Amino acid sequence: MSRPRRGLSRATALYVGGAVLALWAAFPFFWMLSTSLKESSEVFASPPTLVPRHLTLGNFARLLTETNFATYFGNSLTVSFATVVLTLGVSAVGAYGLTRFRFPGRETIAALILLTYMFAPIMVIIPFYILVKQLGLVNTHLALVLSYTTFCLPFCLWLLRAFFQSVPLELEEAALVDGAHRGRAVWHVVLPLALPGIIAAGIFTFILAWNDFLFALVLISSDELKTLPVGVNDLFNATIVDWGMIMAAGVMITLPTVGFFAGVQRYLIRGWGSGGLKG
Amino acid sequence: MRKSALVGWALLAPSLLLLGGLVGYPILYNFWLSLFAKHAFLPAQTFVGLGNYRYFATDEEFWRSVGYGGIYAGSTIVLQLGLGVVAALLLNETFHGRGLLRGVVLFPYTIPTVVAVILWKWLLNDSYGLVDYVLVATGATRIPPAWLGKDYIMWSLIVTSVWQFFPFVVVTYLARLQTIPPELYEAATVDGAGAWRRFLHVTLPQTGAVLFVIVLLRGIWMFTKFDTVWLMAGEGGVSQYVRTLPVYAYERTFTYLQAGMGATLAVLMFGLLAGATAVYFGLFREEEIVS
Amino acid sequence: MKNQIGRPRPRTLAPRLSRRQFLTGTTATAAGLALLGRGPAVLGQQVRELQVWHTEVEPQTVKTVQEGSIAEFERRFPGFKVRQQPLAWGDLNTKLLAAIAAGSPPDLTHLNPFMTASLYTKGLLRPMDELIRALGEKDIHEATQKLQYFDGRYYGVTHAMGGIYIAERRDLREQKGLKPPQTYADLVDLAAALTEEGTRYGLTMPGEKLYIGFSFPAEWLASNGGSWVDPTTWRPRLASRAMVETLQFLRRLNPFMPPSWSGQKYLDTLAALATGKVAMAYLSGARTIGYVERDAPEGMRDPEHFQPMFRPHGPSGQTGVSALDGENWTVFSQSKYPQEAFEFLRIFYKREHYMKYCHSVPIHLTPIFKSMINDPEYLAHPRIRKWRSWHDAMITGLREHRFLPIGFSRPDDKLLPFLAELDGSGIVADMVIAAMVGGADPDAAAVRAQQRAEELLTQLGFKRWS
Repeated sequence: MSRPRRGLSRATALYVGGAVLALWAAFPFFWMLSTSLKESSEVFASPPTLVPRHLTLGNFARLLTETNFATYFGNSLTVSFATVVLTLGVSAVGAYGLTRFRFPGRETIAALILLTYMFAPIMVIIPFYILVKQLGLVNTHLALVLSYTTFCLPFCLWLLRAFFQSVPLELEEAALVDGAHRGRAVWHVVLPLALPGIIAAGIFTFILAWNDFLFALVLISSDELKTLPVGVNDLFNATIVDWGMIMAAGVMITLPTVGFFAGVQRYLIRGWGSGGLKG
Repeated sequence: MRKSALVGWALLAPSLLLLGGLVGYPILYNFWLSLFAKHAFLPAQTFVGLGNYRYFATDEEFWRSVGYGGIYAGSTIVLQLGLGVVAALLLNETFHGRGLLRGVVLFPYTIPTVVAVILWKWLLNDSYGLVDYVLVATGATRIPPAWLGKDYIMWSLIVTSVWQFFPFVVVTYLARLQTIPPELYEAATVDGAGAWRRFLHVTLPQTGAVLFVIVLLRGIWMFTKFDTVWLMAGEGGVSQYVRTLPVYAYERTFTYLQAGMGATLAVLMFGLLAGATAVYFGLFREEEIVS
Repeated sequence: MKNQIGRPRPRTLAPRLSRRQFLTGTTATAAGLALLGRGPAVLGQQVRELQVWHTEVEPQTVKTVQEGSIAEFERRFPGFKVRQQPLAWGDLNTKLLAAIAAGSPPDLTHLNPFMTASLYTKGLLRPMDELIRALGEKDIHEATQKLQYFDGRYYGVTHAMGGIYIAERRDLREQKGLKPPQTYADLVDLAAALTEEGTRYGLTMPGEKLYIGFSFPAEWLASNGGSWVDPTTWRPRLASRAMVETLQFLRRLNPFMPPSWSGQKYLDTLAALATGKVAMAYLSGARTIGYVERDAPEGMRDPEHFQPMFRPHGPSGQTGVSALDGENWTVFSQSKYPQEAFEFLRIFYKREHYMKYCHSVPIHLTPIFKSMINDPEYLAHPRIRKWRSWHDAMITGLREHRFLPIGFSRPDDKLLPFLAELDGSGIVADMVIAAMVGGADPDAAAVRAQQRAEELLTQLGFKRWS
């Protein structure tokens, strides 16, 4: 859509705008990375240095040896992956049921599911806590996995429903006519076409589980079961702030999610465009 | 036909069980709990009917938290929307590095809130923070402002939140922008419309519906946002200047140890939100459908 | 809500990742995670484990306990494992209540004295008279001995004592020829004299609610002839003269404090003192010494530069009173292994272990046994020798009754079963901050806090006044 006559000023405006946007979005990350690679004395130096004069991994070493960060990291991985597996399993099956079988009340159910999306965790955290207590699941990872799964479900169901709906019924029927069992038809015909949706749903679920603070704060008390957000917040509160080390923790937490996003950005924008994400 | 219905239900059963058990039941239980004076951890509870509701009707703290919640949600939504739409329009143009920038803009949305908050606390630190250093070094101010003190804590909270959540607007809006047929712009250009008028007469009408949804979703999420606010100031002395309704509800339960009161606040939060949503639909929905 | 954002268009989607790759990847990850052996943690596998919670989070203390008392306990009770869980002080109450509610409290824990009454009246605590007698009832210092003594029985024993002071830069004060402050007004004058605009503030305080809204206000009330509540009717006394005078004093003090103080954390205030950004840190235990030795400029890491001062008293008070940091070891009636918990305590207080424990953060962990406080071996620790004036301040404070347990405005506050809720509500913190930095009128802020506190106690069922 370039307009040749005004091309230059237009390009300048675009690049200036782009630079400002990049600075606003990414500079805090750059500053986090830079601080995490500085020695303590340089962290507090005035004037501050943009790029560390002496690169050091000392902050990361301290983080991994002197704190429980590695444990929190492991816990977060466990909980997040378990949540992804459970959520995808439950929501794929459910969404398939919603699109391929007719039964009375189907649309009502779908609308009701969307309605639960309107309830923020903070609105149900109290009874949720009491319920988990009654089930004897307080201070277990299972409680976290169940809560994240529940809060990801409405979104994933709707997202996958949209994807399944977009897979032409005829394709599946053709496979069935050819004598394939329904399971095989789904496996070979429907899932491959809905895969971008499944990946997007998986990513969103992972991010939600990886980032959650409230449930982890309320449901987990033992240090050895804590996930990253609460663990790092405790680390931040428990000592004189060791900014280098805290920034190292930030870098370590950010890497997996940024990596994921970079890898599957394509799927993501599509999935996003078709549903929206909680947060 | 009948078998098909059964299979359908069976496939949905796990989802419904989870949602019913872990969202539906807690919501109903929450209503019930709001009628009691109940300790957060000990079993003692007494039925008080609508007593909790009557109390909050005149509780200055409650209304103040509604006010702070309104200021926080309102200002962050406006800023996210403005920034997000401009960024999306920019990222919809063609220029070198666009793909990379699209990815970079997503970053803030993908990190845990705790990291976003700690990061901004570091930038805004009044002794060693970069922001204050730049302000003093450039002569913009002599005494470095205490961004995390009483006077600026709401500002700091808003900046952190806008930074963290504006990518949602960018991505959602961008996804819709990409589906606008180019012919519409070409027709407008032929009619002699400049950039601003093209935005006003082509882009806005085309994206009205998505803006409607963005404001709705972000409104709900910002009004119920707990973690950013709590991590920014929850346990500090200045928390009273950013004590939004979700924080107050959390405190009633987990620090005042009055679970019944906390549940009541959750119900009130839901009521306010439902009311606001209804008004919002009433105000804008008709218009959207017409255009 | 109809989805308007743009439907996915399947024909344009070309998945690069095959279904098989994706599924095998996911399965492998799940299997791998299961192999990591996290199963037991998730399922809460039962082992004979003695759960011990405490609030001494310093790594060397944790290590000392592990290598001393825990090692001996595990030798003497084969089949038992002791799991110590160090908790941040601010987390202790909520975590304990949550654990009690979940029916799985630790076997042995630190408990804040201001929590005891509430748990005792609910029958949750286990008496430990036998243990106290075995440890030497007469040898336990009077400042802590009866904190958990109800209806003729003991329900706890203090782990160690640490006095709370104002830590000052003595050299700066002496350069100005000023004396340690005796009254509120003296402290304001001193803070003013030591403030050098742009480089150093006179005084700083942590802004966290648990200090500014609970432990300090208790001290202020005690230092200015006030109390939390009326002893017989339990009606709050937040709008009392004692409180309002204090708020006026704090308002005068505020200009000599860093503008950002209300957003600061406790340990950051100590760092600010050590690095010379402030001349006085309002909240300091002997832990400060550790930070001074680490962060202060060389040549200044000594008691000539860093000294403790007692709290000043208000116009309506006689003596400045400060908090005595010292939680009590407590065993719950629900504890799984109460006898083993008591046995653990006997080992913990054995002379060789206990002295090492106290030496792990010298002076901050002053022994509860009068005999050990004067024990030459205890006093021979190099840091106690070097920082003897801090130890002496501790002794003076104990002798002159200048300490009360954290959150106590009077000794009998141990009977109040609602201090945890009052602390948690942040009502007092709101009042102090509103009057100090929020520009609120002290009288108005106090009246508002009084009203909120009365409402809270009424809701909690503790209203005895009419």
